[in-house]
Amino acid sequence: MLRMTYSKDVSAQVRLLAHDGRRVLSGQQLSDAARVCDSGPYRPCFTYALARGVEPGAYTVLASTFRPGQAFPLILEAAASPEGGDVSLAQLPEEGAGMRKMVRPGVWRLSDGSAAGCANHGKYERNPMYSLHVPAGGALVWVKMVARPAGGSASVGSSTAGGSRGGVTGGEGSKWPALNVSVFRAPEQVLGHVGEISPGSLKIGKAVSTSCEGVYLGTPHGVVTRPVRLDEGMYLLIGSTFDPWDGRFTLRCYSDRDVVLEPR
Amino acid sequence: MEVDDDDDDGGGGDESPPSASAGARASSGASVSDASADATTKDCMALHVYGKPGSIETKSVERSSGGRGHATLKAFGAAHGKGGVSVVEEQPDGDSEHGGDGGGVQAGERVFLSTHSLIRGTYYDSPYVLTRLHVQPGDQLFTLVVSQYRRMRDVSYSLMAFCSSPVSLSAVPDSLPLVRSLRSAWTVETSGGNSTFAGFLDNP
Repeated sequence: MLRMTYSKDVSAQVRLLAHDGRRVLSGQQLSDAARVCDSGPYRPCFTYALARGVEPGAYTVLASTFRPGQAFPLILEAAASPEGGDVSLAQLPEEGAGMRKMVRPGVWRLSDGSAAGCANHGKYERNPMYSLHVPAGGALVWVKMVARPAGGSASVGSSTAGGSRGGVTGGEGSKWPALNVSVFRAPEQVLGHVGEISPGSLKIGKAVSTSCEGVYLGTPHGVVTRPVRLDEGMYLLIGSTFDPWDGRFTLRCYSDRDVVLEPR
Repeated sequence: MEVDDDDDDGGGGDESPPSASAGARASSGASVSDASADATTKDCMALHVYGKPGSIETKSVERSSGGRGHATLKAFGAAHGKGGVSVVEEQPDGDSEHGGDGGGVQAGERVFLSTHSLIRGTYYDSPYVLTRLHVQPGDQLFTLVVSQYRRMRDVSYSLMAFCSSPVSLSAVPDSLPLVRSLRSAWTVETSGGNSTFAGFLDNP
């Protein structure tokens, strides 16, 4: 049983996920992680979630507020029956803890062609692009991209996620675009900072690292690349939607050493 | 005086773990006492009853005698006065893996939220409250919650159960005695909202 106590001025929910005690980083990981139990509707002051016959192992507890941006203390309790053995509870570090974090807000615009969609639309390389300079010795890098629906802030919701149970309602019901973020080794013509990248020269199938194995995924919770060790050199980082889509995004790049990330 | 009890889902903010639970098995009189400080009429209390859906006749609580093998069980706390009884609609069988709003708790176990009660008592400042159940035939197990409206101070009470059939009453044991807790917080950055928000996974 998970019990959570907090202010009566905030509504919250707690859920138990089969995710090996690791932080859930992306929409794909969230949909892959089985929900062991949750506390149901968001409610003020106190809530709890109960599961019976939980197998021994490490699990992930996600404590969420109904609305974003609400700063409140909480007390989380995990209680177990004696026959199940002892339980332990520890807070997971924040996303990318221990790594360098670079955040780059960006925008896809239909008006200037940067909302170019995937390669099917023939203009993939017109998507917003960033150059990534990896110093001598290489660096371990992973990237997360989250879409921000147009016209609103991150607080605009939709009904695409599993939050419909128990009275969770989103904002204006915007559709979240299918996303991919990929890291490419920079083609030769880019290295000298001259010339355009020729159409079709960047293929997700040849990316050094790509989210969801190159599949575009529609999720409010973002897509991530696997951590990959990059040798010294220059790389290109491209975030794209499956179909051209007018909206904003946020790119978070994590690395174990100082790298330089610049818009192109 | 009757006190408005508005702690349904997402409603009022006074929900907290009940101060005491006792299990009653209807199968003569039995009582559980908890002595602490003095009770006065200023303290509002109510008796809520939890159990398996269908284990009581919700439409005939006013009847005093039980025919066809039914048992009538009365439970009340403290001294004189009249009891407020409110009967909520029967909930679907709550024995599911999603325990959230009380559905996962079984009869005879501790109750953590006031939703899904078989009988939801009304809070009165009367020195005693009475709840009457018309129990369906068979061995039935209930959880009675002796609830203060606000936890302002310690109040002693006596809980008594009377039944036309043999009845037993005992404190609910804590079936989950192994507890670990941690203090944390949502910050403006880590309070990411519910799963329809982009920041859902930024939550603690």
